[in-house]
Amino acid sequence: MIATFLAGVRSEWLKQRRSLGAWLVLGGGLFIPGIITAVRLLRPAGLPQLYRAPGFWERLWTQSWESMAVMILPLVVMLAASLIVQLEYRNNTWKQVHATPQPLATIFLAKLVMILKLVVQLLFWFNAGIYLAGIVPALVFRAVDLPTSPIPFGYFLGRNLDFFVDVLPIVGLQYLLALRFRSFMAPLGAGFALWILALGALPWEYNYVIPYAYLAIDYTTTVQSRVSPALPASPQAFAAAWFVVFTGVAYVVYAAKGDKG
Amino acid sequence: MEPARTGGRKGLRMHAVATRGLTHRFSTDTVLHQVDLEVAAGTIYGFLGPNGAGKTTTLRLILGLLRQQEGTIHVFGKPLRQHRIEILRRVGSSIESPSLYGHLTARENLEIWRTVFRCPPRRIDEALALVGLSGTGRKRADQFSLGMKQRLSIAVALLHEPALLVLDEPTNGLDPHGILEVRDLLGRLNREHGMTVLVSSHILSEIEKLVTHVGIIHRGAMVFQGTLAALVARQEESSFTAIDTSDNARAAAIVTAGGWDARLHGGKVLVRPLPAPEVARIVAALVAGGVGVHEVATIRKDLETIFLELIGA
Repeated sequence: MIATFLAGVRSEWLKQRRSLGAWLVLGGGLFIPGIITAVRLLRPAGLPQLYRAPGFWERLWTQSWESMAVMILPLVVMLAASLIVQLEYRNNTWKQVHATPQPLATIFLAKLVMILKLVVQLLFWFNAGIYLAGIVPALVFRAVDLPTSPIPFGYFLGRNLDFFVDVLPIVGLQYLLALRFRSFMAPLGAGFALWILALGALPWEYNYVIPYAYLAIDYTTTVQSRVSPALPASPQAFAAAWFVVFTGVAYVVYAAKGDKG
Repeated sequence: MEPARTGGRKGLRMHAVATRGLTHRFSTDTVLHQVDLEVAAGTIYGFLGPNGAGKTTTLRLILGLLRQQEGTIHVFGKPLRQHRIEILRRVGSSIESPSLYGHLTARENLEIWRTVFRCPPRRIDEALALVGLSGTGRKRADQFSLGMKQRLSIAVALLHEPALLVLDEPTNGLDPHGILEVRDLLGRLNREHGMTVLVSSHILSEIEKLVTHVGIIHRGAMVFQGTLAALVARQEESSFTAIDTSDNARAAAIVTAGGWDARLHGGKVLVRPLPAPEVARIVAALVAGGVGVHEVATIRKDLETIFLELIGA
């Protein structure tokens, strides 16, 4: 059973070689840090003081996460979930996958693992990008010293984990939609609509009921310390609950499909 | 339901595939109606029918790609519904257009399926060599010609050395040389490895030199199923020699009196196809009886014609 599952995951891993998903998370992860680095290299005035100031890494981290939490992470996750499933539609390979001796649950979970792997990769490249955005200007300009304040690894790791959980409802629902609809645009369209709805509803006192809102809620309430209505539970608790619901429904939708390729 | 059995060289043996009363509908359209397909183990079964006859639907049902609605499917004597995983371990397939990951090389494509089927790494080289794709190197599958894609699909299907190979129109897109190669390969797999092959086609001539058994489906119903020899016998039955004479009624009487089966049809005397010396004897008897022979013609229907007649084309 475990061997079958591991073989399923490995086969999914092999499919991702040189695929668009792998490039997407690399580009998505390095996009914001790349812009920050470029701005600092083009406008170096004030960098010496900035790099000597305490809390350098926290400020850089907060600055980087603003666009990441609100825009890049949800968008890349929507695309990644769709791409993993589209790989089978586009190559006409669902029938070959379903003619292999794998339980449907294995096929379903192996693909879900690959989507989660892409999210982890995205976060890895993003964090690596933040680090590079911190040290590259110091390596380029003699007047800029390497930051002296320590990197708060524990805090960063914990917050990465929080954001990872926050994004899980998007993973679950996008996966469900990608399995349900053959078209690449249908899940993306629905995802965009929900994402815009979540952003528009942020000021609403019940914004926590919207599954795509947790990243933005989490970022604005904890990282930016903005005043927010008290949530009945943590964003991560809501996100985890939605993820379980969406993943469960996704499996039922997938397994119940009469035509498997 | 008891697994279906059939006679064979070694006495009773199990069917590799047996369907009973297989019926399938897409919304209100009945595409398969009471299909009883029987593929004896160790044979090469040609599944024939025009486009849209129900071949692919039947094969997809046999592979569990479509949910069964009515009827039963047994593969290796076991019901597919209850033993899907166990059965698929021993089945290799290629359905309709090639299923390949276009951004990967031939070797990388095979590596995916090798992982799933957990077969030894050497099988990749062996499968590539079998289909003549050993030298494709770093070329991606989406840069392959259709023929190369078909061959790679066959390599995927036989990678894990299945007991049953299910191929849907595997010669589509192949040039005559490629068709010959695929035919030779399937024959070899059957002879040397005892692989049962279920291969569909809409062109009888493409597979008649390969198959041992034939099933013909038309508009979702089986119109013929049996050995190729039985189909050839049907061909013999519908062939005849037609003789046109100055007095056909008298000619028929002379021929019958000579011990041959003769009948009058369409203003001519018809007899079963006979060897040339026999034909000469009939002509001599007619001339001796005072009947002028105007024309003697033997009409032999080829298998393709029989096939077309069976499907009412």
